[in-house]
Amino acid sequence: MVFSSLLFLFGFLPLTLAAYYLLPRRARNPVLFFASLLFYAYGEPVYLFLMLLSITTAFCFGLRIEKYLLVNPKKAKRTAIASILVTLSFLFFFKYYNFFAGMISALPGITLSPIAGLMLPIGISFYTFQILSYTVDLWRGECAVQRNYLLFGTYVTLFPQLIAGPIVRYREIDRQLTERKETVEGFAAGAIRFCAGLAKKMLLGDLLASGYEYYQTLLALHPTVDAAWLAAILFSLHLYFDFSGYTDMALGLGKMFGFDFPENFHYPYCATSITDFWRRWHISLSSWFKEYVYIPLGGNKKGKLTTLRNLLIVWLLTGFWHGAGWNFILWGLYYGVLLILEKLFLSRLLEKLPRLFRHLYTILLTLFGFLLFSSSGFIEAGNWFSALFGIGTVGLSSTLSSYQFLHMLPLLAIACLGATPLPRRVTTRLFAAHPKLSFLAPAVCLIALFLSSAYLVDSSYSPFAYFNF
Amino acid sequence: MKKTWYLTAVLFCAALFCFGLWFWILPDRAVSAEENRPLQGFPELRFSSLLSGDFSGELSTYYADQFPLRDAFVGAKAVLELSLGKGENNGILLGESGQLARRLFRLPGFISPTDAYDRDDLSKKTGILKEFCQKAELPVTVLLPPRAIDVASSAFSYPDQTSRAVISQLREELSEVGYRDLCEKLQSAYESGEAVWYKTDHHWTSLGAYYAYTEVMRSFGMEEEILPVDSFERRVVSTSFFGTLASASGMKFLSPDKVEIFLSGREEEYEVTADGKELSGLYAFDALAKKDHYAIFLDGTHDIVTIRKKNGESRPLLLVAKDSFANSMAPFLALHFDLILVNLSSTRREFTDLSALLDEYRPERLLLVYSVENLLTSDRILTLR
Repeated sequence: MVFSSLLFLFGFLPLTLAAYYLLPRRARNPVLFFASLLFYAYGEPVYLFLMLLSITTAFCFGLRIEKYLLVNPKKAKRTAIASILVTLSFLFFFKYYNFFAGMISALPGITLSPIAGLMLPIGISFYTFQILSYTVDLWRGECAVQRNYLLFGTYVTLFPQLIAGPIVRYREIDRQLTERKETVEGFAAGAIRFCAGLAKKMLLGDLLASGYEYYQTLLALHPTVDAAWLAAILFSLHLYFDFSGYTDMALGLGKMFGFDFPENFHYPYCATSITDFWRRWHISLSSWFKEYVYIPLGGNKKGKLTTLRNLLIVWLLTGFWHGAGWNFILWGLYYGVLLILEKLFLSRLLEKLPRLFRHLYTILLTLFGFLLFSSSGFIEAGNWFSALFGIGTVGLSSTLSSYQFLHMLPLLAIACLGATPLPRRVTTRLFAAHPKLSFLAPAVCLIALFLSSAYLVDSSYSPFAYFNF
Repeated sequence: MKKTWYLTAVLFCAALFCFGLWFWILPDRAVSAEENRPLQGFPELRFSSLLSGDFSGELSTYYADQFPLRDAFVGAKAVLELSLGKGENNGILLGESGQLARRLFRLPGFISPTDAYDRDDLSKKTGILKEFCQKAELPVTVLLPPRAIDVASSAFSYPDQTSRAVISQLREELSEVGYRDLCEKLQSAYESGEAVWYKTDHHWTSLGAYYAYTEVMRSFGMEEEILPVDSFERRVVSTSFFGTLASASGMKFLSPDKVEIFLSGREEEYEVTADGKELSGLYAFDALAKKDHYAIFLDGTHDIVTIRKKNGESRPLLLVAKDSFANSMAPFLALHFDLILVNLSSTRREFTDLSALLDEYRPERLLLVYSVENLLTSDRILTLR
């Protein structure tokens, strides 16, 4: 199930809220666990068992790690490694098997037939990383063992963050599992955050996506330079509003149930360098890799060369985490190289330049990155990239592309403004100066909910083409 | 502040619960007239469908299809899109005096709709048409009704780049084989205020069809026999027609079209059969009680329609291979010919095997009426033989 669906908004969510708040207090975690399983099973009935298997093995290994931790550290380490390998093997098989099978089969003499119909289980990359954070932290002695299966299961499956993050580390949330306190303030703040996220996804993200798709098709039929740029800009904005909107919904839902999840985005398009960008984009993922890969590899403490090697490994993995495809690997390495360059000398150089230039530099480079990210192949990405500079195009612009641009201008302007801290700053100041205006918050919240619902209802509106006969 | 928090929490929950409850109380609708399709009912719960995920897919559709105030939500979305300055909704442009036209078309092989077109793809299709016409052993006229956006372009601030490119390509590639260009004539008629096109439907009006008829007669060399427009009694049969474009646009504030028929006084003389059954005549007045008033012409969609004189008088036979645009032309053509109309878009594929049909019926002439929209968006014409 996804948050941006009528079934979730007007079926699943009210029922879960009712069960959560009306049943006795001790039923709250079981309600969440059961609701999360239902939430997951709705889209992936079969893979529910895979997720439960993954949870159960990590849970059992966890008990053993704790048993050996003080008496036999070596055995504890071996157990932790075994646990990590088992957890990773599920991810590897379902996400990467076909990719590697194809690659190995390309070698002479070996054939490894790909498995047809092997579908990627929703959210597996997210929940696998959550589980890993528990196993590693437990072995490092940074968190206590969880002996209650239900609580551990609730942590992994918690539906607000199950399928698109943020990736919550176990130790960030273990106390909240048992000691959280739900308040009206928290609930209301959560509802506002949720509606804001819903509107970001439905009213901006999806509209930007259809603009992007329009220009993609135009690029195939009538390639012009402006269409190539607009497609790239629209895609970047779409991805931000879609993903950060989804995160807002996750954080909002968390608050409604008394949880505080870590923030995942912080105005990434306002970054002044690529290093800065990755401190603002999908924060929970980059900090996971920093915590569990970069630092264990030695981080930046073991000399320059090791630091560079570590950066490359981390970014290769980050790219690969996003999808089993060469374009994702290359996309990751692209950032690895950029970050290395910034670490070596570019950062110092950038600091001497005007702020506007640094913004432009960052935006341009992320834009180029997304060409790789969103293309299905290198040829497509290459064509798109060359079109940005007038190679393989039929002109700078066409009447069609400029018509579309003009009519998307209001949306684009709203999106560009919305990607900066300005709207939040203005509203915060307004409410601080005129506390009476705060009653507007629930009103705006409801309007956002209804307008988003209008788009959701409309998405099923498809007049049947009886006319074509 | 405390009050605001309470208010927010209560209103948010109330909205979710009220609509959730309303949804379940509201009786299910079986069909949507506006969309001309059946709506999803509550899906059947079976173990296999539960496991395959079919159940959840259908349940989602059920929610969207049966949601309370569905039409109001659809209309609200259209208004929001227009207020964003897009000038359109769902790819349907809103122009001067309520004229609608489809801007974005779904081309074969492309996922998202577009207003550009694939020159090579069109060439391939005109190539097939051309080859067919050159091979045929009888005179053929090719009439390709333009799109609303081509004819009514003056009602929109929309560039006519694609319109001009498509029409000139058609003219270029089909000029040798009896292609008759209609677009210019209809365009200038539209610009001078003649109602040649519906505002809310993608078809031409009876007046537009009359112009098409004169063009066809001219291509047959039968100019002298064309009946002048004032020899018909023009009767308005509906003033409440909301056509396909209105449906697709989701806009709820439009004014309806009127539907006019041109009566020659000889309507009683025809025997009209459709798919083997006899129709009451050229006009199916009971269509006016339903959504699609354009179906008054030849009772809407049929695979094969024949029109002959009741008194057995035999006239030259004209085979019309066509889509729905020919339906409103039929009353004019029937004045001169016995007609067999076959639906090129029929689900029965044999109707694109025109050679077989020609062998079977041995008509004197062949008229192809196939809209530019269908030509661009469907691959059906590639199977023409």
